[in-house]
Amino acid sequence: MISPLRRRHRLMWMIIGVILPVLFLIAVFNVPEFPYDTVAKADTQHFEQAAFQEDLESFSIEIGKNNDGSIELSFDLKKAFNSPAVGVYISNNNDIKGAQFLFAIGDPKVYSTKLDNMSVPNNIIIYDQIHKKILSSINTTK
Amino acid sequence: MAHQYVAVLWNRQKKLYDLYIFLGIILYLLAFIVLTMILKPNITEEALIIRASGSLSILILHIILIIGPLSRLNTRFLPLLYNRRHLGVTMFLIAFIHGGFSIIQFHALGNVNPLVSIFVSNNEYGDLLNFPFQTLGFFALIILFLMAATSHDFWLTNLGPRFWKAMHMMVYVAYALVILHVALGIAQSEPEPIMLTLLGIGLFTIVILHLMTAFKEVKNDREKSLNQRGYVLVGTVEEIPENKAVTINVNGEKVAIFKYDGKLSAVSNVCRHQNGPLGEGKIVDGCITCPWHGYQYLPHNGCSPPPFTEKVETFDIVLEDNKVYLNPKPYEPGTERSPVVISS
Amino acid sequence: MQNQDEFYIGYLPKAPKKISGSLKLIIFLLMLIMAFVAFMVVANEEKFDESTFEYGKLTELKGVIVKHPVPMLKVKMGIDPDKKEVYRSFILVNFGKMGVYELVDDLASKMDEPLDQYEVTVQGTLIYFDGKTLLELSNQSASIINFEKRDGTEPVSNFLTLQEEAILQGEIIDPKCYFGVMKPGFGKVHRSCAVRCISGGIPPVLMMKDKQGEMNYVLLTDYGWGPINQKILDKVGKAVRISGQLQSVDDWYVLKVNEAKAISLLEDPIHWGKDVYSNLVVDFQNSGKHTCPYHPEMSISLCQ
Repeated sequence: MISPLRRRHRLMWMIIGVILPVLFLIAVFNVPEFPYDTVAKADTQHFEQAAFQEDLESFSIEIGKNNDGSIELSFDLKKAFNSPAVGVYISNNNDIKGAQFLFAIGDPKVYSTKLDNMSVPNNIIIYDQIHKKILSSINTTK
Repeated sequence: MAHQYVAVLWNRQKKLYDLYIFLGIILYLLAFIVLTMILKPNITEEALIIRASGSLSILILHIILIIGPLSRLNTRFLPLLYNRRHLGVTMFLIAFIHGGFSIIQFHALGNVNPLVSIFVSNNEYGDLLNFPFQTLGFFALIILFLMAATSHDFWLTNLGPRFWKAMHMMVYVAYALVILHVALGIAQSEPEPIMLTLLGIGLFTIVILHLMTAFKEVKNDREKSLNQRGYVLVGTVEEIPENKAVTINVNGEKVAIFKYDGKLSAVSNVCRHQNGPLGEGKIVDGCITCPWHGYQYLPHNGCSPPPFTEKVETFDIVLEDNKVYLNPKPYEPGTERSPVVISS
Repeated sequence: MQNQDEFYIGYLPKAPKKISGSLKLIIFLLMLIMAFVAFMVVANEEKFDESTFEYGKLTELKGVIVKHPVPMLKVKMGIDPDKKEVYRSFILVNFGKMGVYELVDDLASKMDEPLDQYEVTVQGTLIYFDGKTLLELSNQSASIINFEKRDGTEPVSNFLTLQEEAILQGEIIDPKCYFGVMKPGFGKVHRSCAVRCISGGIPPVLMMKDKQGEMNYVLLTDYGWGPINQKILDKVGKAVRISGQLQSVDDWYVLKVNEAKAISLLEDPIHWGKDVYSNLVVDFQNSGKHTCPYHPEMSISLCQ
């Protein structure tokens, strides 16, 4: 290597060899952390008399009787479905046609509603309205 | 060496070199894509292209930068040096894919021209940690483009080897920009410090290799002093290997003294092609052959054998007893000086 | 220098034997390094979300376009046991990195009645993830293919004011990228894109995470449900703390940002390994007061 090149290398490396590792280490020690919130959680509903209970990986369902005799369905969504518009329905046959719509689900949280008639429905259907696909069907009679 | 410029002077070694470059790239991309499909299947195609091409081009850049120092430390790496240019141009093309897709992905289809958006979307130029990392990448790509565009010998000759090499030293600036582009970019978004760890290992390797080379070179840089007749003592005849040379540093530049066929000749150590170290070469078919790209010069007059026209400076040698003395004053390139015969 | 009987000359057809042998070993090692690096990068990079952008697939939806809190298509899901109509919100975005504020204003100006008195048929591309949905009007204004006056005049949006002054912290993201198009759709690497999207009119969203990793998303508007996009561009993609009035609107939350108290960047974001927890409890569970869906400051009883 000729001497002007050696000089250039020395200059380059004094700058790079010192400044670059310093900047690099600054970047290393300052990788940001996400700021967390404290969010109030809803109490999961537990009925005194649970008429039906099902606990799955992405959701759990509980149907119980209230003191006034009304029937309530509580749906705890733990992980959102990968679908654009999901509704929860009840039916007495395992068919979305004629099923009664209860509520739409989206965010992972607890959804609940009182049921009209006084008996526990045979099927709870989770249905993607846009892709017209049944995502899950729970049979309460087994 | 040619007088007619063609895109590439193909030969078998270059073809093999390029074949291995191609195989290495295919290996990396296949491994990357297959592993991603298995381990991280939710990726989008654009993100896959951007990450694969980005990581591959940085890896190749590291390989390119270690070839120089490794070749100085151990001559078995010289074949990697021979066609390093092709590696450089390839690296630029892959980096260009990364840059191009990133610009489209992150800046196109918005309310501002994408090329403007690179510079204004994040305009915290005064902050270190929030510095717009994409701007750093953009300028690194510009430097790499300039280097790739002038990589051909046409530019080497017309710009002159010294200016050309000075310009190509910008690779170190590009390297620094690339390191910071990653450190202040993707590494800030990834919780696992993998990017920074790999980059740190790469940076460390390059720095260490360069330092080792610097220490080795410094030992050879010591200039010899002149005796009362104005000559420099090179050493004894036996110290010079047959068909090879020893080099000494005089007046800021090195001179190579070759021993061949019972004779001694001295020429400038600096090859006219890319300033390679002729003194680390060998006499092949009666010609001094440069270890970098095989350029040749006749030892008694410093001229390249016809039809080539490169010439190096020649020097006078005096042999007294067994000792070799060099007159440090160079003759014009191509001046014939009779070799000194070694009497047995 | 090594055993120097061998000398490599590149333009000769074959390299000398020992050099050739060394080279093969060097190349093999380099190939190993390349495979290793590929593995290390892929295995250790952060997992990608399941966010979906149904690219190339147009879906036709019928619903009502509302302008508040941000332009949305409300699609009727059904009637619940309390005989109330239930709507699913699809935030509307335009093609590319653009929003639909102008498009919707333009559409509204062509109508005789307010926009939410019509049922429109819209064709667009679905974007969804983690319980939220957006619709890209891929053909821009041509995506709206039909409209007819709807039965009934009740507002389709149900606003509840949960907290008069809530303080939230998180990262400002753009929902189109986050819920669908980009992976990742947050963080420094995505910041420029988020700035472009928000600057183009896509409504900004505050992405919030709690200690258990549960996510919440809050739309950000000004106090009149107008866009604050241009005012927050320099805070996008960073850790921020924002205060304002917290409301829920059907399946979304919205924060009407208090512009007098500037959005503050969290100081010291945060050194390696140290988490930053907010001790201000955010209560999304509040039953809240009904608010007028047309006038941000009014309670529902005074609403027209």
